[in-house]
Amino acid sequence: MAVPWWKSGVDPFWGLRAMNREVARLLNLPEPGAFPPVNVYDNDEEMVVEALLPGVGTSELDVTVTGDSLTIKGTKPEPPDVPEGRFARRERGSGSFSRTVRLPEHPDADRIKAAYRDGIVTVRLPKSQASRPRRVSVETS
Amino acid sequence: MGSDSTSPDASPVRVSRVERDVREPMQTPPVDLYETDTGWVLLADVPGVGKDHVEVEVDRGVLTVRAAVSGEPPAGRLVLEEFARADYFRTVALSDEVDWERIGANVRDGVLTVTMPKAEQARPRRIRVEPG
Repeated sequence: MAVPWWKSGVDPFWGLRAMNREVARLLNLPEPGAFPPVNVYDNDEEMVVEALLPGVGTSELDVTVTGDSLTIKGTKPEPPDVPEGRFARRERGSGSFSRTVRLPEHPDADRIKAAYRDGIVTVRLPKSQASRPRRVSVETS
Repeated sequence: MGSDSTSPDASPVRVSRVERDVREPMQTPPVDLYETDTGWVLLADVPGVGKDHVEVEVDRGVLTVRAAVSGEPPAGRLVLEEFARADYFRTVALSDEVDWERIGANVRDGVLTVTMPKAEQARPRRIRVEPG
């Protein structure tokens, strides 16, 4: 007998959700539920990406920049050695993750820096000379 | 439980203190709470919170966590915003078997760990069954 979809464990809207995420990514809109959540700042000199990664040490973290895409990969560890059935609450989540964010502009790949502090990764991406705003003087003829 | 000095109705337990007041608006950090043989452990995700910016308080069987985010946001226009730079607040009801006097807390990599030992009489102990 056929199992109705709401009991099957299959998400019939998976495709729709995936499309939503893709549209959000392309338009640089927030992606609800994406991990890690990120904030992106943009100023004349650089772009700054902050990602919330509590409990993920630097050894578990991999930050890659390709063109105007920044990818953050890693693993959020589980609480150590907790026997099954001993959890009264479990909200933090764990496991491996990968998130790609499109940057407003191409960064200068040689000068990118990333730092991890108090559970936040901060990636500083200086803009390449070519994409920095510059003032052009208008000459009178 | 126990004498009056360990009762949750006695003065609140303050494990550590915040350097500045926790400000509105606040957000609720996700937590894991689990039991071990010797007590309970509470883990709370509080990214952005340094060592001296957490306050853990126990009063009348309720554990209250307040944590202040330190540091300034980067300069520039926010072009994508998925999280708030807001302080954290959470309360958790505790088992009355917790030994209030020995609660410990620390923050590392944006995770707050609160250890709550069981009171001596609440710990599991092996009872030898005598043959009848």
